[in-house]
Amino acid sequence: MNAKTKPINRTIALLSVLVMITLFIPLRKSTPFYLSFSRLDGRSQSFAGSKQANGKKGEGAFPKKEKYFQRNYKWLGVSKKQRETIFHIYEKDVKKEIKSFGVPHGQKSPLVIRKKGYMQFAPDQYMVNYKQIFQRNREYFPALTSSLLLSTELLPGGDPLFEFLVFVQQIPFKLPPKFYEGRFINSFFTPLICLYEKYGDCDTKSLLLAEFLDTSKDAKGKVAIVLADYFGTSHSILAINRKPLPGMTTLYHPQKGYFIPLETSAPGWSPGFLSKNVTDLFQRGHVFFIDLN
Amino acid sequence: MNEMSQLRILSTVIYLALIFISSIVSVLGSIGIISFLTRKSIDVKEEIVKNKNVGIALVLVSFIWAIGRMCIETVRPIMNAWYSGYASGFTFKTILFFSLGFLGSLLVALISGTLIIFLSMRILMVLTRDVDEWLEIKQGNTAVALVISATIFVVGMFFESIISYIVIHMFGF
Repeated sequence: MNAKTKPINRTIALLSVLVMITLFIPLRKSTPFYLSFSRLDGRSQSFAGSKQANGKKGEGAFPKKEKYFQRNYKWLGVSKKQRETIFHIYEKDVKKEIKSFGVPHGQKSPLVIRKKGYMQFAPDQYMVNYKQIFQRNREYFPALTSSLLLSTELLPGGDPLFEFLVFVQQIPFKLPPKFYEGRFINSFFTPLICLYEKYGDCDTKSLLLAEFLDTSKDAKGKVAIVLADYFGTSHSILAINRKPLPGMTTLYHPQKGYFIPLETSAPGWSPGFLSKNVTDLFQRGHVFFIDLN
Repeated sequence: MNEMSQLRILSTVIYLALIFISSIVSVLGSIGIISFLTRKSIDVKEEIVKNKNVGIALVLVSFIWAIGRMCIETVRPIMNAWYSGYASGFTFKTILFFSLGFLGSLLVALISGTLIIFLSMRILMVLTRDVDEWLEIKQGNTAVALVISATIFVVGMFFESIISYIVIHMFGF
C-alpha cells in the first residue's frame, strides 16, 4: 500500500511546487499593470509651464532669462525605494495661476466670481469649479508629469497610477488658508500652487493627481472628483474609470459605469481602498460626482 | 499569462480563500465557544438536529454573525496589503509577513468575536443573576435565546468598526 502511494505523493508534491513557481515567479517581473513597480534609483527634474510644453524638455532646456522656483520632493516609491523629484515651476505661471483663481476682497459680482474659478449651485452659494481649474492647469502639467514619471523609473508602457498615487499621498496634508495673496480661495489650492506650496488638503491633492494622470500617456481612464458631505463632515476623493479587482471598493455611476476610488489624503491606501469612515461617509452622505475629462 | 489576468486570478483566489476561511473560523469558533461556555453540557449538533432546539440555533446564529463580522472587517486591510505588496514586488520576506498578517488578522477577528460574546453574556448575567440562561435555552426557552442573540448583535455592531483599525495597526496593513 505504502509502496504504491509514495510515488503518487511525490508527483503531487512536484506538481504543487511547479504550480507555485509558475504563479509566483512572474510577480517579480516589472509589469505594465497599473499597480506596476519601478526598478532603478534616480532623480529627475524638468521645467513646467508653457515653454516646456512647447518642446524644450529635460535638463538641457534651462531658459536662462526665465525666473523659476525649484521644488524638491523626497518620497518613498511603491517599491519602498527613496525617490527624489525636482520640479521647476516658472514664476510667471505661478503668478498667472494666483491671478486666475480666487476672489479679491469685497468682490460680490456673480460674473467675476464665476470667472475666478467658482460655480454657482444655488442663489448666493458657490463652490470651486474643479473642471475649469483642471482644464486650465493642463497647460503646465505635461512637463511636471514627465519629471515625476522619470523619477519613478517605470518601464515604457508601465501604468503609473500607483506611483502617482503614492507620490500625492506623501505630500503633507494641511488645509490651505481661506485667503491667499489677498484672494478668497476657500481653502483650496489649484494643482500648480499645491506643488509650489508643497501641501494641500483632500480636494487639492485629488485634483493634482488628476492632472498627473490626465497628462501622462500611459495612464488610461476617465477621472472624476467625488465629493461627499454628511452633516458638515465632508471629504473628496478622485475616482478613475477602471475595472475593479476583487476586494476593491467601487463607485457606480448610472451613465458612466464603475469607478475605482483613489484616496489621496493619507499614505497606505492602494487604488480601490478607503478607510471605513470614508466609506461610511460616501454611503450615507450627499455625493457629488464631477467629471474632469 | 497576461500580467493583469494573473493578478486578477491571484486576487480572486486570495479573496475567496479569505471568505472561505472566515466562514469556517466563524462556524467552528461559535460551536467551540458554546461548548466552552456550557462546559460541554450542550452538544450543539444534537440539540439542533435531533431535538430541533430553536433557542440553540438562534444563539449559534448570533455567535456566527459576531465572529463572521469581525472576520469580514479584516478582509479590506488584507486585500489592501495584498495589492500594495504585489505592486512593490514580492520577496520571500514580504510573502512571509503577508501570510503571518493574513493568519494573525483572522486570529484577531476570532479573539475579538469571542470577547464580544463573553462581554454580552456577562452583561446579561449581571442583569439576570437568578436565571441560568443556558439551562433555560436547553429546555427550549426561545425567549431567553432571543434576548441573548439580540444582545450579541448589538454589542457586535458597536465593536465591528474597530477591528479594521486594530488589524491595520497590529500588522502594518
